[in-house]
Amino acid sequence: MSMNLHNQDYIEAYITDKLSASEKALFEAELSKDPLLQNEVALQKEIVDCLSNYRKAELKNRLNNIDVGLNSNYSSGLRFAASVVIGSLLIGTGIYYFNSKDNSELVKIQAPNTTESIIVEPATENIVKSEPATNVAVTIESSVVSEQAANFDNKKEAKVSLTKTTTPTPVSKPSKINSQPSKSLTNDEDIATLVAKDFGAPNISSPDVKEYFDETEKISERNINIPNGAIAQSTDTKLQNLNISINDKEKKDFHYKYFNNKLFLYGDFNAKPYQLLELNNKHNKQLYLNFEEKYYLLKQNQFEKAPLTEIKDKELIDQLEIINNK
Amino acid sequence: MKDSEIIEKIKRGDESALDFLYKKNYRMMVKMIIKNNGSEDEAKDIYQEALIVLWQKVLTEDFVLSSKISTFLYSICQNLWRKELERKSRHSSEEADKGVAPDMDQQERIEIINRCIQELGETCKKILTYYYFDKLSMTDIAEKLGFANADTAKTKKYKCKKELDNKVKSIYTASDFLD
Repeated sequence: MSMNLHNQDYIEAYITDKLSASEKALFEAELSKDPLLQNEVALQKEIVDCLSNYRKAELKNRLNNIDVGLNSNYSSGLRFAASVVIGSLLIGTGIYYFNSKDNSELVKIQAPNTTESIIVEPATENIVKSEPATNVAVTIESSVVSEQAANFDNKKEAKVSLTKTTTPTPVSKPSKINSQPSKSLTNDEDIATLVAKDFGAPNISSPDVKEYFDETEKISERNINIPNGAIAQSTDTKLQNLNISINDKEKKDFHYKYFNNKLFLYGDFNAKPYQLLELNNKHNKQLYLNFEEKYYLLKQNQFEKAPLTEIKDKELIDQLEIINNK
Repeated sequence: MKDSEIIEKIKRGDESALDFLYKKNYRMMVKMIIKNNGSEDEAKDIYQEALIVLWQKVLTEDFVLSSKISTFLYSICQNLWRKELERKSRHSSEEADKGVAPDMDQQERIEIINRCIQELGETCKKILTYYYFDKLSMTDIAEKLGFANADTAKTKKYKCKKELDNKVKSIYTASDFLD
């Protein structure tokens, strides 16, 4: 530690009680005869106190918003299938089609008449309308954004609001997915909202600048309106705002963990679409991951990194398949 | 969740553990305070305070849980409520006779500081409060906020603190001139 007692680091170390006994004695001796230093220390203490109070108020506010469940009976025994379209970390990866019947076949649609470009602020994006020739169900067409001037590395963070619907999920039908970046997150409940940002960059100088994407599904062929409201409103806010972070640096890893209500996936999840399914019954909400034709259990109290284990239970798989509308 | 799991979560600054504890022990703690002449609002307030005290204690480096969390929380609640009762009775007996002469300068300074904190960006607010209040390590801060590593968190913390200091000082000195 620098011996300049007026050094901010030294003052901070003193305030946060990180000095050794001898350093502290030295500092206090100096402090007693230096009014300027006294002023500075007093001000720094106040700043730290104010920050503490700010945080305390924030935590209290957090607690205040918790439903302590004194009158809670989960309304009307909801048993709904929650289908979650996680629109694939929209960022600059290209077009992936994941064919559920034959996943070795990656269909890349390039025919000009199936691709249309729509200009949306702030960036130009290619929105792909898919018309698979065969009647094969396509699990997720991740709409795909080729973002200009974007240079992303492979760490991405996605904030995803889950889509919930009681109807058989439309995801497996050929559908058109529009993706529009937008500053507002306040769209329909059943829209998978996706926020993606690059957080691999070492310095985020402007923390508030995240890019928000609203991903809207439109079922063009069947004109189905996904029901709004009733069901979506009864969903757990925790799940609606589930954060997902993908780390595919460790390609061979196939792990996950929960931390701070955020789901961390370790593995090659950026390359292929994955899907989160929520299975609800009266008292339970359970999340499952669907990836490459297999289902995995996501335990929400898993806060140490743990391998994803495939589900073998036939009955459970059947249920999940129903949700998934295969 | 087991107690050990909860502690482990808190130690890493995972607030969901706090939510969990809050729900789980709400009835017991609030009931205790109401039984001891507290209103429901007071009970809730004290219980929340107690949880935050617990949070901070667990986050100190050398914390070891020596009883069940609920027992520990219960005793914090009791202490806080006892103090509150004392404060209330003292307040009513002495009336406002020795109302602590408020240090106007200090009050003003605190207002300025609070305003400056408000003006910080979200990330800065988080880094600084996690660092100074929660006393999280740079590694945990980096994990919570999605920074590449502890060094990034450290650099950012330094910048944010500097920004706050500068804001406070510029206003503070400016208002000095006005006096």
